[in-house]
Amino acid sequence: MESINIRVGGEAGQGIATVAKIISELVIQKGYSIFSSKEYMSQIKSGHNFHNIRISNQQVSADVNKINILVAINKESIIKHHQQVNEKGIVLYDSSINIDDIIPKQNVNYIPINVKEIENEIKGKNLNNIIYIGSIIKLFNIPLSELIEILENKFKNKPEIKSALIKAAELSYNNFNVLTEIKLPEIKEEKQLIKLFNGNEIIAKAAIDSGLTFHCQYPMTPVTGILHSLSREATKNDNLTVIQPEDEIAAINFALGASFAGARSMTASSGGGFALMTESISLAGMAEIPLVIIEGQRPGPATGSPTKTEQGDLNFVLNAGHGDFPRIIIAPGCIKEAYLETKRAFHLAEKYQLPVIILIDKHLAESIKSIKFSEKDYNFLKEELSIKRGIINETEIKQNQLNKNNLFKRYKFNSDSYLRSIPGNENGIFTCTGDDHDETGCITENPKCRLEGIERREKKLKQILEELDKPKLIGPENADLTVVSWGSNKGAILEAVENINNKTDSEQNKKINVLMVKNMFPFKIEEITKILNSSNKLVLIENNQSSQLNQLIKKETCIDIKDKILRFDGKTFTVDNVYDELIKRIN
Amino acid sequence: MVELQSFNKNEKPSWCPGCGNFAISLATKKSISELNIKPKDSVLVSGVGCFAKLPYWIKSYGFVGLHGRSLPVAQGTKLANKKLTVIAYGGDGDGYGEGGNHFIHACRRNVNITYLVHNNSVFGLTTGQYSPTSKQGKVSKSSPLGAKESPLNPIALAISSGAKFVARGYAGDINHLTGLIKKAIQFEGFAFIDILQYCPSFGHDIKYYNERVYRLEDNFHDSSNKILALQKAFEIEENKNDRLAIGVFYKSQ
Repeated sequence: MESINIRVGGEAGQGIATVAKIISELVIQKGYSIFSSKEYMSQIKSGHNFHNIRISNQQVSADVNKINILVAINKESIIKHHQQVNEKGIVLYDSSINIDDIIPKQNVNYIPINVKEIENEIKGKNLNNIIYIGSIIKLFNIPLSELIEILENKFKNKPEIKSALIKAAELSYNNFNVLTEIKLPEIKEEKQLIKLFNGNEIIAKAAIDSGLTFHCQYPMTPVTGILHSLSREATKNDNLTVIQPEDEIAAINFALGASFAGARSMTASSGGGFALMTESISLAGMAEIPLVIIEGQRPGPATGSPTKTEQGDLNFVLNAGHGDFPRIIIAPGCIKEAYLETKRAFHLAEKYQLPVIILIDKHLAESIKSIKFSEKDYNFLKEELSIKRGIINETEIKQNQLNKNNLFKRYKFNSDSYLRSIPGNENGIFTCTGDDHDETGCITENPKCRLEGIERREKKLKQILEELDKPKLIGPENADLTVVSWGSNKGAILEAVENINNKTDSEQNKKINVLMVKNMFPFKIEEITKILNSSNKLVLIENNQSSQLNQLIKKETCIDIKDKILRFDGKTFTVDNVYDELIKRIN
Repeated sequence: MVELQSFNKNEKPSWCPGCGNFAISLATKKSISELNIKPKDSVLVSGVGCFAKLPYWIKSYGFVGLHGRSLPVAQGTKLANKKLTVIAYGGDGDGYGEGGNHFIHACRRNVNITYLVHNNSVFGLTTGQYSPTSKQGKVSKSSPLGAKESPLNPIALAISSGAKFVARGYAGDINHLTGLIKKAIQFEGFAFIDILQYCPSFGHDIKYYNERVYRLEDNFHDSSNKILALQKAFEIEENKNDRLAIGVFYKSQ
């Protein structure tokens, strides 16, 4: 895949996010696809942070190791990253940085940018980000007017800042006259409506498109972005209530109370906050309350590395909550899947009235990707989401759904469908409860009721299993090697595998295919077993230490994948990491 | 007019004979029916403890959730449908111990719900341990040498956390309690009533409370004055006669 990889490094608070954002916006307007990830430290000012922006004329969904353009806002960024710049690549750095003591890498062009000079000329401060952007777009042959248009829009209401930014952009654009061999790849496709989303934003969008009316979340990295997106949305959407409560226990109980009252309801957290919610997840299972929970993993245990990425919570999420009760756990692998699966989560939560957990990680939550939205995506489950909510109104309640005291049999035994009533409904009175209960929700210690209740709840799993997507192999059938993985590793794995499968040299004609496990629970035992049994050779890729997907596969299918590629240093897999590991295994 | 009987259920409560919960349950039914609120429009939310079974025996929508968590559920319910009358119940262990954090923040948040805490200063369902409102020195199964902690002051805590309607009721005075609950439901905002409750099995009996309880309204208390309300709230710790005031301590105008 032809691509250009830009890395912008600096201290927190130096505006590196702005550089990444504006460049991304500029290139997607021209029809390019981007993938942008970030690595940052858990502090607000200083520390070392960087963003990657990978630009391609094909769909791009993962990071690579090699850098074409390094924007080093401080000296540390040169020292830390210039060895990764590839041949004929460039380093743009602030000319006030003294680089005499840095041994330059061969065939890399170190280009000083006169940040201070430009700032002095227009008597402005903190303009370094726009100055770098001006230089980069000149290098890409993007007309200055396109940058100015973005600035005009972004800073409509701040005329002073806007004019300083535009002047700085003009000066840096005109001053930059270095010839390089870096070129954006040629656009093959027609321009399309492409939008930038990170995982958090796409989940917020999916929730809104699913008819979300209540969101309650305590801030926690890496899913705080969901709270931000939805809080913004609530200012212009009268049907949406967003609450930031005192803690995660409150968050989930607010959401359960709202769902009980008929709201389409959601909460989100990372491992630590999710841990606080576990007793209430068990309550949602017992009381059969629909709820969507987003779990964004980061490296644990305890506080771990709050701003890094890992897939270490799968075991925990599978087992969170005391007692036996059904739940659904879905782990989307990319931004588009995060959209579709979040919608599915809302649909399944209400149809089967249980907790549905969308399991993502920091790499998916906070990486930005350009995606094309089709009508088909937008309409996914649209009808189901608008009508089939399991809520019954008073005229629909039949005599056989009422007990002799005219209470609604909310928890009807021996029933295949799950109908609920919401407060305000005249004939629908019942008690929503975490105690063992009779059909109307009244507490009972009658063992017959307990057994009937368990059967009613557990039966859901079988029905759900039939409704979930069948697992499918990606790539050629009968491949020499099958990669098994899950979640956000998908982008890097698919690109690496494609690179290997497309290799044309004579000695290498072995093929690889990929199984991304998405439905963690209920688990498609039969289909997965069949796929694994029919593969020639298996290798597992996971972003954790104890190969938690393999533990699940072993438990459900009795197949143990011995060959494992595991990473758990807080970073995600790049295309290169996966490529190098897989090549070793097929040669 | 909504008849009191329309809130009756066939099931028989499992509380001990002589339990204060019967009185609080009756006061709840009387308050809602006298305010003309229908069973279909009222939601009673509780947690875990003897008190928490109350929603099972009143015909209205109910939510019996987890220990200490009735407040977040009740606030979520109210925010999702503002037409509902939502009453959250707590116990002294459930609401002041396990759910103490939710209590403080519900006072600050001022969502329009009523919060009734059945306060009998003892854990009933777990058979008689000292609770957050037990007096210092209380001897129980879990405090054989006497409780070391000083008791929590719910009224003072509520006022200083920003609650705008703060009252104390008494299970042994149903008419007075009904009056308080009606005021609390009608109050536009978070309304809190700490309800003194006798426990025939593990706590103080009805005689203990009858000897100590007096009505604030008979004592010219100015409930619009926050500082006076706080002073009154601390009486329980200071006065030597061991008197217990009931009525509205503080109501924001």
